[in-house]
Amino acid sequence: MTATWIKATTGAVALGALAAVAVLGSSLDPAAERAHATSTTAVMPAAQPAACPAPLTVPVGAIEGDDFSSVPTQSSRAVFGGASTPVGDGVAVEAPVGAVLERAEDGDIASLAALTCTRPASTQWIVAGATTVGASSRLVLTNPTERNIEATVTLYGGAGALGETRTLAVGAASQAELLLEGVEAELPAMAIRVDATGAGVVAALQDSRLDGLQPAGTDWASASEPGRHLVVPAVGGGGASAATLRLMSPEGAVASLTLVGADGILDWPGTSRVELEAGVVTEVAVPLGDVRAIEIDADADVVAAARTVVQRSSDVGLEGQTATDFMWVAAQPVPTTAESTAARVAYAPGLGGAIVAYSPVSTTVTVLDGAGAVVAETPVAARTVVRIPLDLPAGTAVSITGRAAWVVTVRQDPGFLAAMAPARPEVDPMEITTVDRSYVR
Amino acid sequence: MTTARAVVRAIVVTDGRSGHLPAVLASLADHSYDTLDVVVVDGDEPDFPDGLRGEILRADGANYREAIDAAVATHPALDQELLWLLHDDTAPMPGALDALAAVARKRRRAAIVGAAHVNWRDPSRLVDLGATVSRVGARRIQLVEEDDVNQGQYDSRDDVLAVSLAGALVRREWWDRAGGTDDAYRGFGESVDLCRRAWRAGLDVVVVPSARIRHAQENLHGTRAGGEQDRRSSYPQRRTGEWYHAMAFAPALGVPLLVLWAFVSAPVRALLRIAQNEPRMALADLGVPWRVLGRLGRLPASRAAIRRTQELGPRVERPLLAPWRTVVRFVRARELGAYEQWRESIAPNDVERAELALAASRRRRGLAITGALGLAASLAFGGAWLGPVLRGDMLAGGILGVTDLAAGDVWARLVSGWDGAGFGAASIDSVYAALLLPASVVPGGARVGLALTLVLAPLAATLGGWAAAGTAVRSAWIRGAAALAYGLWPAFLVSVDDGRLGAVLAHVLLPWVAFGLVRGAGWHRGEPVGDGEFPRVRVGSPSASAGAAVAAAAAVSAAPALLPAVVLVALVAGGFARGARLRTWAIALPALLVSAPALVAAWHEGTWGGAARVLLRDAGPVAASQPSEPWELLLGAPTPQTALPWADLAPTAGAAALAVGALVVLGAAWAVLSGRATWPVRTLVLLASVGLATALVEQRTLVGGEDGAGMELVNGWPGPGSSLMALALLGAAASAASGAWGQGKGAALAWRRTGYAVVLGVAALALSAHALVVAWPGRPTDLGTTDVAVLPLATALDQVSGERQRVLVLDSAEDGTVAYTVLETDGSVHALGTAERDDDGRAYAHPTDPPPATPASLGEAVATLAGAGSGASPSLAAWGIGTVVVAPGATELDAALSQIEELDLLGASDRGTPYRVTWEDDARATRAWVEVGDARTAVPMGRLSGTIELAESVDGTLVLAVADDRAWTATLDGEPLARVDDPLGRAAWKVAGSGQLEIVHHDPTRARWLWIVAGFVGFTLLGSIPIHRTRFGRGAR
Repeated sequence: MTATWIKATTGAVALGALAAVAVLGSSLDPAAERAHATSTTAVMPAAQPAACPAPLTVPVGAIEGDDFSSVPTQSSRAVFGGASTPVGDGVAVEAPVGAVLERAEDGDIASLAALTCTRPASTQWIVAGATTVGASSRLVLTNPTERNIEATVTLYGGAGALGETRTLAVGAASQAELLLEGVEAELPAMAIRVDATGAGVVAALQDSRLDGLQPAGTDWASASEPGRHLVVPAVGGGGASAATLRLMSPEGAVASLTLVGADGILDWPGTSRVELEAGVVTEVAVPLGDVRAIEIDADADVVAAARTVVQRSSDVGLEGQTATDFMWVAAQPVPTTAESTAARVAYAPGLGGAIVAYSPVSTTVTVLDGAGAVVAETPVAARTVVRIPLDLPAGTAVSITGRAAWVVTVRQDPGFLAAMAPARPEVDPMEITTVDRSYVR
Repeated sequence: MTTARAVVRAIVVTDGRSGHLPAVLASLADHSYDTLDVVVVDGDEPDFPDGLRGEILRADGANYREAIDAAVATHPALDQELLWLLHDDTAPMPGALDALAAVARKRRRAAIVGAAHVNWRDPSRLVDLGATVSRVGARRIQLVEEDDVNQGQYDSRDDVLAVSLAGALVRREWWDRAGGTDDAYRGFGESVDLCRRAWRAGLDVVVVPSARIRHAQENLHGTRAGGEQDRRSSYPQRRTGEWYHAMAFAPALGVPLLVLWAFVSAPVRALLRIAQNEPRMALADLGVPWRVLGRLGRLPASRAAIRRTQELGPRVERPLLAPWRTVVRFVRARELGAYEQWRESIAPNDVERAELALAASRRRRGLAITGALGLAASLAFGGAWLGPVLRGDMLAGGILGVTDLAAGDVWARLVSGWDGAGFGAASIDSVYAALLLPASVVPGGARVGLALTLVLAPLAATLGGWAAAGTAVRSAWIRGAAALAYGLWPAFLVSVDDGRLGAVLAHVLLPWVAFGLVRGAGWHRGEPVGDGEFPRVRVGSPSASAGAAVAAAAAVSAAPALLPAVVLVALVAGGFARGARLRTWAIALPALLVSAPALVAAWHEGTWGGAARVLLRDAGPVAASQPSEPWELLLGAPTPQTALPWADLAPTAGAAALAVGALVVLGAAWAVLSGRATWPVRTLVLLASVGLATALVEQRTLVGGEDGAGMELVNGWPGPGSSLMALALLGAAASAASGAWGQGKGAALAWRRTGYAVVLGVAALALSAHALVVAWPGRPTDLGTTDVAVLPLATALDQVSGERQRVLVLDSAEDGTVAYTVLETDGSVHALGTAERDDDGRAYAHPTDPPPATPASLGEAVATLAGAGSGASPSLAAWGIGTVVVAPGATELDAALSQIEELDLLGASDRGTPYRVTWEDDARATRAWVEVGDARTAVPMGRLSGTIELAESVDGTLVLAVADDRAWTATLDGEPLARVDDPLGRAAWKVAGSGQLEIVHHDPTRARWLWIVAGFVGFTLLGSIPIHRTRFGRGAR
C-alpha cells in the first residue's frame, strides 16, 4: 500500500499547493497604482486688440424722396479708447476696452447707438434683433488678429434653434457682415450665437427698426454672458414707452424673474416661474416706471437682454407721429464679490451719461475715472437700483468699486437712448491642466 | 646463404599493458615459423605457454620500429627473409601464416603481404582488409565497413594500396631498404606510409583475405591497460597522421596549401561536430592543425626517406587511390551505417509496423484538423485586421502603439538599448527587440510582420500545444483538445486583443520549451503498440535540449517574469534526468545569460521591492489592467470581451471563457485523483501553482510606466504566469489521460469509455462556445487598423532628417485637460518595449542622480501654449522640439496656438495642424548643436550618432537634446570631450578647438554582452539542429 500512500500524499501536496497559492494570493496587497501626474499652470493668454465695428448703415438702402431720405444727412461717430487703426471698415483701438458712440439725426436710422468695443472671443451670445417687416439685424464680425478665422452663426427663434448655421470666413485684420433677415426672415424675437475659430472675433449686432416711414430706433447690441444668476441692470425709466425682457436658455431651464427698483423689489405677477424650452426665445413685457433692474434666477444657463423704447415727435411724415429709439441692455452675472466688478471699464459719453447700478447686497458704489479719482459715491441698499449721473468729458474711462452690476446709459434729448455695458480690460490667467500621454491617433 | 623457401621470422612487440598477450602467444603455437622473438618494451616479460619456443628480448623504451629492428638484428640477414610482424593484441587464426607465405612465394614483387583482420570476439566480422587514401588530402579509407559480416565477398581482393602491418609478412630486404616505419607517425598511419613507399619503389602490396587475424584494436579504441573509451579518443592522432601523410607524399608546392587547408577545414568540422552535439570532438578537431604544425619539423626527413626509395613515382599508385565518389560512399556508409544498425536493432516487427502506420495516419489527420481549427480561430479573431494591413494600413492601439517600424529602428534598439520615448532613456536589456527582428524583415516591414504575429498567434500556440501534448499523450483526440484549449486560452486572447507582444510571444514559445525538455531527457511517450510502446526505450535527444534552451531564452526575454520558473524547472528536471542531467540543467543557461543585465540591475537595487520590480518587468507594451482574483486567474481570467448582441448576456463571454478554464482545472484535478502517471501529474500541478503564483505576484507589482516617461506606474500583466499555469495543468491532464482509453475490461471499460467520450464532447462544446462568443464580429479591442502616417507628412520627414526634430503633439481630453506627447517617431512606439524606471523616474539600467529629464518638465510650456501665451518656444526648442502638432479635433487648442505670434502655422491636414517652433533668432530647432554664446551651429544627427566638421576653432558647448546618459559620448578628432552640467538635464560637453566633431551612443558593456549572448545562443541554435551521429553504435553490441 506504500504506492497508494505515496500517491495520496503527493496528490494532496500538489493540489494543496495550488489551493494555498490561490488563498494566499488574495491576501496580497494590491499594487498602489499611480495615475498620470497632471500639472496645472496659470497662463496669461496673448492679448488681442479690441475692435469696434463699422459705422451704422441704412438697412435696406437709400430711398430718396421729396422731403425725406433714408440716409442720414447729419451723423456723428466717436470712437473712444486711444489711437485707432482701421480693421476693414471698423477700427481696432489701442486700449484694452474701447467704445463707439454714434448719433444719426435723421434718416431711417435716426438714433443714438453705443457699443463697448471688446477683445475677440471664441463664443458669444447676442440677444437682440428681429427680422420681421421693418426690422433689420446686421451682424458685424470684426477680426483684429493676424490670422484668418472662421465664424459660425447660429440663430435661435421662437421655435428653438434654427437647423442651418451660417459660416463666414473673416480674414486677418478685416471685417465681415451678415444680414440676418437674409438668413431667416419673420423672426420677431431672436438670439444669435457666434462661434469663432482662432483667437475669436468681435461680434456686434446693429438692430434697426422702421415703422413705415418713421425711424423706430437703432442700437448696437453686444454680447450677453450666459449664467444662472443674471441681472439686467437698467430697464425702463426716463419716460420709456415700452420695455421688454428677452430670454433664451440653450439647454432649457426654469427661470424666476424679479423686478427691482430704487426702493427694492417690485411686484411683477406671473414671473415667478418662467419655463424656457431649449433654444426657444421668450419675451416678457416689463412694467414701466423708473429705471429698474431685473434679476433672473434659473436652474441652467440662460442668456438675456432687455430693450427699453422711448418716443419722440417725428419730423417725418404726418403731424403728430412719433419716432422711437431704443437701447439694448444685456444681462450680466450677479456679482459675487467686490473684486469681480472692480475690473470693468466703460466710457463716459459726455452728454447725458449716467451709471445705473444694481447691487445684490448693501454696498457703496464709488465711481472712479480713468486716473482713479473719485467722481461720485453713493450708498446702495440690497437689491435696489441707483442712478448716478455722469458729468465727465466724453471719452473718459469710468469704473466703479463696490459690489454692483452696472451699465452706462446715454439719454440725449429729444428721445435718443443708448447704453454701453462695461467690459474687462484685463485678460484673466487661464488654468491649464496638462498631462503626458502617448499618441497614436 | 640461399634457401628454398623464405624464412619466416615472427616478431611480437608488447608493452606489457595488453591483456590479450597470452591469447596471442597461445595462438602462435599452431603456426610454422622459423624464429619467434617477443620484444618487451615495457612491463613484465610474459610467460610462454607450453609448446611455444621463442626468444624474449627486452628493449625498454623503444618504439615499434626500434623493437622490430632489435629483434631483426639478432638474426643474420638471409635471402628471402620474411618478417611476420605481430602486435600483442593480434592473434592469428589457424592457417593464416600458410596462406600469407603461399602468396608471398607466388608474388615475388610483393614487399608486404597483409592478412584480413577480424573482430576478436566475433571472427565472422571483418574489421580491416586493407586501406587506401583519397587522392587529395589523404583521408584514410578503409576498404571494408567495420564489423561487416564476412561472407566471402572480398575473397578476390589482392592488390591494395596499404595493409595493416599487424599480422603482415614484410620482406626483410624491404624493411632494411626502407629503414623501417617512419617514427613521425607515432603509431597511427605507419602502415600506409610503408606500403605506399613500397608501391613507389616498384614493389607490390598484397592482401590475403583467407588469412585471418583476430585483432582487438586496442590502440584504436584506446582500451589499452583497461581504458574505457571508444575510437574517438584516438581521433586527434589519427587525423594528424592522415594530414602528415598527405604532406609527405604531396608534391613540394602542395605542402603549404595542405597546411592552409588543415587550418581552414578545422573550424568547419568543429561546427559540424557542434551540430552533431559532440563538443569534445569539436575541440579535438580544432586542435588537429596545431598538432600538424608540431610535426612539421619531421617532414623533410620523411620526404627524404620517400625520395630515397622512390623509383616509379606517383603514377604507379594512382589507380589504387580512392576517387571522390569512393570517399563520399565511405563517409556516408560510416555515418549512416551505424545509424542503420541501431534502427535495425529496435526495428518494429510487422504487426507493430502496421499499428504504427495506423497511428501515424491518425496523428497526421489529427494535426491537420487541429491546425485547421486553430487557423479558423485565428482568422475569426483577427482576420478583420489582415485585409487592411495587407492593403497598406497598420495595426495600432493605445497599448501597442504604432507598428510601422523600420528594420533599422529595431536593430538600433537591439544594439543600443536606447529608448527614444520622451527625451530618451537607457533600457535594461534589448534582447526582446531581437525577437521582433524577424518580423521586421518580412516583406512589407514590421507592420505586416507584427500584424501576422498577432493574428496567427492562436494558430502558433495551438501547434505548439500539439507538439507539447504529444510528449505526454499520443491520442490525437486528447492532443487536439489540449492544443486548442491552450491556443484559445482566455488570458492569451486578451493579450492578443490588447497587443501585448511580450505575453503573446511567451505563450507561443512555452510549449516548445516543454517539448524540448521532455524529449531531451527521454521522458516522452512512445506510440502505443500492442501492450507496450514503441520505441521501447526512449533515448533523449541533445538537439531537443538545445532547442528547449533557445526557446527558454526567447520566452524569458519576452516575459522576464518567467525566469525563476524556468530555472526552477530546469534544476528540478535535471535532477531527475538520468543520463541527460547536464544538458537538462543547461537549458536554463541561455535564459540566465539573456537576463544577466536585469539580474545585475536588480542586485544594484538593493531592496526586495526594487529587485522584484526589475525582475518582474513586462517586456514590450506595458499598460494597466484590472487585477483579477486568484480563483479567476485559475480559471483563465482576464477574459476577452464580446460583442454578442444581447446586452444582458455580456457576462456570457466571461462565463464561456471560464468554462474552458474550469474544465482544464477539473481535468488536472481528475488527473491527480486518478493516480495515473503519478510523478508527471504531481510535478506538473506543482508547476501550475508556481505559474499561478507568478501571475499573482506580477499583477500586484508595479512594473513601470505606460509611456515610459516615468509618469504613470501600472501593475504587471498576469499573462505569462497564466500561460505557464495553463500549460502545466493541460500537461497534467494529458499525462493522466495517456493510455486511459484501453485500461480495464468488460463493463467497467465500457462505462469508462463512455465517460471519456462525454468529457471530450463537453470540452469540445465549451471550446466552441468560447470561440464563438469571442469571435463574434465587432468585439471591442484595443487594437485597430489605421493609416500608416500618424503625423502630418512634412513633420514626419523632419523627424528623420539630419535635424532629427522632435514633435510635440497636443490633444484635448474630455475633461478639458491638455494631453501632450513628445515624439521622435511617427506615433508612439511601444512595441519595442520601454525603458524601465523606478518611482522617481530613475532608469534602472543606468541609475543617476538626479533622475533623467522627462517631458514632465514641459508641463508649463505646454500650458502656456494651450493658453495662447507666448514665451514657450525657447523651452521647446531647447529639447529639440521643432514642430507642435495639434491633434485633429482639438479646435480650441488650434484656436489658442493660432494666436501665438512666435509659432508659424505650417498648414492644415486631417492628421493635425502643425506649427513651427523656432529659437528667438528664427533658427530651426535641431537635436544637437554647438552653442557659442548666442550663435548655434546644428550638428546633423542620425539615429545614434552624428558628426560635423568644425572648420574654424570654436569655444563653446555641444548640446545634445536627450536626457543625459553616460553612454552618449562626444569626441573631437578622436579626443573625448569633457562633460558639463546642463541645467535642463541634457547631455552637454565643452568644445574647444576645431576638427571632426562626433557624437555617438557607445555602450561597450552592452555590446560585449550582446556578442556573448549572440555567440552562445547561436551555438545552441546550431546544436538544436537534429543531425545525429554514430551514437547509436555504442552499446549496441
